Amino acid sequence: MEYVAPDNHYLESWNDAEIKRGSYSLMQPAIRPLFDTRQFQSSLLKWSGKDVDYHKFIMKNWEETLFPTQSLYTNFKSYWEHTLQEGIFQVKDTSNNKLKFAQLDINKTLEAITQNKKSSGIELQVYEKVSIGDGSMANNPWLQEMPDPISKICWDNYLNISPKQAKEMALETGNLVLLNSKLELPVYILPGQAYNSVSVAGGYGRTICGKVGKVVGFKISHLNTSKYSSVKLEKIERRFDFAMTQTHHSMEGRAIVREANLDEYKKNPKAGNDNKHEYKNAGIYKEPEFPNHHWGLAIDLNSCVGCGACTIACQAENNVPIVGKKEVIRAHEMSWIRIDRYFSGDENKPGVVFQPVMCQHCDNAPCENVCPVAATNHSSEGLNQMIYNRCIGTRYCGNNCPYKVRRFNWFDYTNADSIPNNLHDPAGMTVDLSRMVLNPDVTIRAKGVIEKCSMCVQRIQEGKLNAKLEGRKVKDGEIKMACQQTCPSGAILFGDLNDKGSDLFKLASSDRNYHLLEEIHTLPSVSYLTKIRNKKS
Amino acid sequence: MYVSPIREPLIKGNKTYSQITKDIAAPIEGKPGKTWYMGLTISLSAMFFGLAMMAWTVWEGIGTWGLNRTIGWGWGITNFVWWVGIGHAGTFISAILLLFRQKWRTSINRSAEAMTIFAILCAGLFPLIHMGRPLLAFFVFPYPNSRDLWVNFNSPLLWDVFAISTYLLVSLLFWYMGLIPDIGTMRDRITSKTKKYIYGILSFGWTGSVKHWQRHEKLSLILAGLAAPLVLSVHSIVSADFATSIIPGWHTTIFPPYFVAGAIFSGFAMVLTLLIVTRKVLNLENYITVTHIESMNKIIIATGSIVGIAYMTELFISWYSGVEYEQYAFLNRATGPYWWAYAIMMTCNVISPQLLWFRKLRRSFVFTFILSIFINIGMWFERFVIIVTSLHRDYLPSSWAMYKPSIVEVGIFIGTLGLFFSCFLIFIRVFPVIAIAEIKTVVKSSGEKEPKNETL
Repeated sequence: MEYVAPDNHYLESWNDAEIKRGSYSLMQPAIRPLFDTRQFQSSLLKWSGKDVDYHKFIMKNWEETLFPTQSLYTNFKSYWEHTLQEGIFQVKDTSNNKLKFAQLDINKTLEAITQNKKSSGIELQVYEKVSIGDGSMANNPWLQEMPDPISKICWDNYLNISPKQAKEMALETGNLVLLNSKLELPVYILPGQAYNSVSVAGGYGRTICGKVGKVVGFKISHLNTSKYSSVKLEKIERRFDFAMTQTHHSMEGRAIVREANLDEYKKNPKAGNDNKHEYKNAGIYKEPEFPNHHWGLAIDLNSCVGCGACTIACQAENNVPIVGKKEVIRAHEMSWIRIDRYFSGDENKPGVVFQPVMCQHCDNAPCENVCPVAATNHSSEGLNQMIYNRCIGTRYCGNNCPYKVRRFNWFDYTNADSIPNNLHDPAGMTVDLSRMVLNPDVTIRAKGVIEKCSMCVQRIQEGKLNAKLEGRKVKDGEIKMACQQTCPSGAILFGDLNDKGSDLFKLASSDRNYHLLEEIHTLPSVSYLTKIRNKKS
Repeated sequence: MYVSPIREPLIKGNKTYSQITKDIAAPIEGKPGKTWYMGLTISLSAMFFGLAMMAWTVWEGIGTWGLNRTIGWGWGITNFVWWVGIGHAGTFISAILLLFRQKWRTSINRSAEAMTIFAILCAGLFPLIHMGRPLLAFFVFPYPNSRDLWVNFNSPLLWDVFAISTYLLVSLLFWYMGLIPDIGTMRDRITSKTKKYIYGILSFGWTGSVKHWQRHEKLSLILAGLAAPLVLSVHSIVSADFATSIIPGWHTTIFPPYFVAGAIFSGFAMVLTLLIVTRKVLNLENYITVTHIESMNKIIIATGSIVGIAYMTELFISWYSGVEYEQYAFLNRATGPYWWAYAIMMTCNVISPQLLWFRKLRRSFVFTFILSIFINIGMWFERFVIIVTSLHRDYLPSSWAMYKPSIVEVGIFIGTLGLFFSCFLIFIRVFPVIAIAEIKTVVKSSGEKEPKNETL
């Protein structure tokens, strides 16, 4: 006999954890169980004959074990409430256990690695993508639609092949190959992939999965990778369409990502950033003034690792829709922030740069003056704003944006359109349950309007209101953008350019600071810091 | 007026006044032939196909087109500019040639003006249909509202709204005003009672009295005066859509004169396409003669050469500017993935009209007809090249993309061709294709019968 015992979601459950030695934490439900489920632990209690609520069970346990270890609170109720509010309770660590690095013989390890027998043919390596990992995230449409940091391909896995090998086999990106006469895989020519080696991501082609991840990409789990490490490739005369968000990989010699080497930077902090043009007061019009705040961002190209976490953070924060593979192929992706990746130099040993690009919130914005209905305009705090209700969708602003960050709602992705039966929702994001992912502070957009990065205006607004309620000025660092909050390397910084003491002001006046395409005098509020490479020139 | 012994008469066949009326009224009074019905069926089918595609666009969204995040305008705006350009020949012929007293225009002005109106109708559809939310298109009008919302007068797209609507209004008035005496003639000639009644209403009670003629002449001149600057301004404003932007390949100060010349160039080509067929089908060979074709060909070679010089100037300036984006934009036009569009444009617009330096060719109906089709195609590609090849590779290579039209966009274009030809086919059976009253003045001044009385 088989049983199905559906568990609660963690947001529906009580729980506790010892996150590290001596640090205890509590989880409490944020929502009532949506479905007819029972928490796993409650089920265990029930099955073991104890008819007690798991919440009460935890409380009792804490009362008996942790409450006595402290002396601050005399009654358990206040202790419990305080800990719930804090989220953590720390016990003084009395043990003398000091952690040490393992004393491993590095040479032995190295030997073990290098002694791997050399395969004669082409070696196959299976890796995990940063987005869906081992495939457990395959049913997450955001992660499926997140372009791979290097290949900029989403909704697929593929065979990475070195440029040299591709030339030998007359392959182009998008060609199909037959792997060991069994598996058809599309090819991506990856600069920097070692010659005579190919790689493919696992976790794709899942057959038992939710609506989103089912049969996305190619299943390779049946390949025994140790057995198949030497593989045979044959070209197939068919092509495959990649959902690729960037199809041109060279900067064409343009000063888009400015970089310098460390020794150059040490000699001259302005290395790689010598602008020969007039920037201040170069236009015929007076530069706009922002008497109160002047919001801006600085992006440190030295810190950006290109992971793409910011793109997902933005998608979650700003209710950016998913469009699906077919639409990404048609360059209809909706991302408000993207990470441009450029290769440079020798294709067998390329230099790679990442550059997050969102709306640059230009103070002399080319998009603003071309909109016939003034649906996009400038705020008194330097933000380039979109008024969705006013937008009639001429896309003139998008054309005239030199950064190409404006996104048009090609179809009704969100079920907000007034015309019925035209929904395009490949990932089921408009069903009631999925809609719970929407951020209530941000409106969803209808078919036919332009949208773009708002510099998380809802967060700015919240920060300003909080400050106002407390009768003070907005503190530097108090407001954080979603992309900034999520960036693991702290590459994105938000702040007030008018605040001379702010961290942003320091970065904005740094020698490494520059604006993207500043020579066309769009006066962006977003700026970049040059990339300094740790190598000799 | 002095009659040149060398210059050929503008109308051949020693026509009398009554013969002229009879000849020109014949297509209206007679029954249309099989070819006309066939033509109309094809045109109407094309039109309805286009309408279906438009309905689909409104319903489903612009996503049904081939546009993308990089290329926001494609066939839609290409067609818009192409149709507006075509319209310019009509206004040029009726207004500017009137002011310059070019008498030969009387044989062609009526149909050219009709063509203008139909072309503007087709053109006007595109800005509307290419909007993401066409149901809210009225937002572009500066109407008073309780929300204090106002339009953006900095936007060239808004200038377009005024330019195109003014153009349509003035062209329509001019055309209709010119039609009134002829409608009066038709009212008097036609025998069917219902038709007589309709023509009666449409003629606004025209009696042909001296007072009516006086007012008619005066209004003609006033409207010609109003329309003449429009020939220059409308396409200048359309060009401002591109010239005021910052996209390399669009941001070009040469655009206004270049676009106006191109518009007249393409407009004359379309007039030739239509009239070479019409004169044959409607037996108007004596009214639209080889002299007319030659005169129009001369305008084609003049405007075509201006267009050619403009192309060269653009290339030179992009190199001379020293701006890397500008240089790349033009290099990419000629050698990038859309090189074929550039090659078609260059061949059709720059090389082919130069053949008209040969007198034999510019007086050949067959050659002129083929050439006019070439120019129609070439000028369409000019707009495609400007719009798409500039957008598809602009500043940041990360966003470079390609554009391929979908069946929906192609269908809408075919639909406007259907609309245009349906309108024209109906027009030639409903109204006199040649201004009867006006052409009679030409007979008097250049007819060979009364050469001694030439003192007009």
